[in-house]
Amino acid sequence: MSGPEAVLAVEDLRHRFGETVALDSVTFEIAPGTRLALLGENGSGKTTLLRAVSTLLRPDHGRIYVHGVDALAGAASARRRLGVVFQSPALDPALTVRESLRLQAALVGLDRATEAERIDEALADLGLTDRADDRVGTLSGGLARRADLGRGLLHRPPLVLLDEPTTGLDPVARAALWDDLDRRRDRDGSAQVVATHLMDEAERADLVAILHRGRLVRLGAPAALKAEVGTAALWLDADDAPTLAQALAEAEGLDARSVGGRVLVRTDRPEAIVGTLFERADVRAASVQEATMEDVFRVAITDQ
Amino acid sequence: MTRAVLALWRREVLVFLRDRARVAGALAQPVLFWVLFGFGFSGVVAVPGSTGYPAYLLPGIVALTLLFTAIYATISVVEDRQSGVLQAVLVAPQPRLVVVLGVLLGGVTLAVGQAVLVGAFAPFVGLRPGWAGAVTALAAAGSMALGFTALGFGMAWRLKTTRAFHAVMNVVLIPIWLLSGAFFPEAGAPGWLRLVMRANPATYGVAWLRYGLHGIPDAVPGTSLSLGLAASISVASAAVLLAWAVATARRPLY
Repeated sequence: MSGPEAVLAVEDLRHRFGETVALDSVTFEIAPGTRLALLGENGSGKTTLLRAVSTLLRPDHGRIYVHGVDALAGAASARRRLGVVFQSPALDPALTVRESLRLQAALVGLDRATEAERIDEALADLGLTDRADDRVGTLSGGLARRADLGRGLLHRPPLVLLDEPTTGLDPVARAALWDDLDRRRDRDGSAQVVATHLMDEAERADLVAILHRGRLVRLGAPAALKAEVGTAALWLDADDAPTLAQALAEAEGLDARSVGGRVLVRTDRPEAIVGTLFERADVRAASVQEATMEDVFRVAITDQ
Repeated sequence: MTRAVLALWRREVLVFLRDRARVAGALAQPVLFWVLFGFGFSGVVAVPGSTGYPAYLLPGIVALTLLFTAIYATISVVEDRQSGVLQAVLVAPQPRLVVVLGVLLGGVTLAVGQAVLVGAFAPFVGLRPGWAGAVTALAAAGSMALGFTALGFGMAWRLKTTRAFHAVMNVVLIPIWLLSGAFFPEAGAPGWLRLVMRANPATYGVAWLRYGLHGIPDAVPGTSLSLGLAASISVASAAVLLAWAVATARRPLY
């Protein structure tokens, strides 16, 4: 797959805000229908990356292709091929749900016949038919978010960007939103790039990209990334995790590192060594767990 | 593109009409100013002609209505940026010119609509514009509203909070209005102040309005500007401000 075949291709993207590096040589591409989860701490560059792809921000350097269109040379053409859902609903509270969708239909250039059909379908899909003529300001947070999803996806773009779309939602509303996203992907075949802080949401993706200080430090399928950590993770609690990690690495030849105040030992046979390690005086507790996406994330940002 | 502009215009108008406090305030404030200043200062401010100070002040109050309604309509740009609505519009496949025209058209509609309501008081103070005068006054109002809305849009694009917008606009708006011949005629002002008033583009719009509300006489009280000069400079100023607003909207949002 090369730039023009990918639904999104990002090449050597760099951007600075003053002295702060927001994006540092970020390169990746995703195929049509793929869901990519973007993980990263606050300030890691997730939102900057989404803004650059959505043409709201012009990066200092690099190339972006949306469905084969050079987004920096032909921004309007690229925007025709993407939909964006922001952290909070980008809807005017004084307009009704139907008026908001009509405004969006005019902005994305749907003809009148398609507009009516798409709006009715979106309202039915999102369970908002009964609330179509209610003002957005009267909707609950979950319903407003779903209406906003309808706005962002009304023109059925091949690429959808979602910036922490479930922030502030209760578990029921969160699950409903993910169901909506799954249905839209199945029906439209759209690729989805989802920035999130939630590991269980990242697990729902085909690919996970981890950004740290503007750099892409991991990119792969969730299972592959977890396998890099070890099929199971051996975690040790210690008063001085860095010293213990160093001792285990130098004296025992183990792949040990200090991660978030604990020591992670990467091994394919954690059961075989856990007993020995637990007997050490400088180990307070030891546990073997299936590697999780959180382990992947913590290791990825600690490695840097 | 036209449909997108009209959709944004419709949204500006709908949002305004659904905010009852804003509708009431936008109309009540200029009328209150007119009644209090017009009748309160009627024995203090000497104005040329025989119509009296309330009649002199009415075109100025129409200008004030245009100024405040037009510029404060563009505060939606700041609010939309904060709420994310502006970003949602900007990621649609439309050139930024569409956003500028949609917002400006909305602001002009609201400002001229309010100005017509205030201008309707003209017959109560002896002004008889007639049809030709009314059309002239409408054209003047449209030109001024476009210029003021463009000014507000350009400022709103650069400012990140509504508080900053209010602060900047208060510093800009009041002098623009006071020094436009709306409140006192330039004839009685010192020379340096007269120069400042002549340099103020709003002076020409207010003079154009006066010609309209007075029924297009050969001369109107309070200004020595001809109708042609007043209209030409007002239109030219609006065009310059429109060009500035369009250029400003090309600036990156981040």
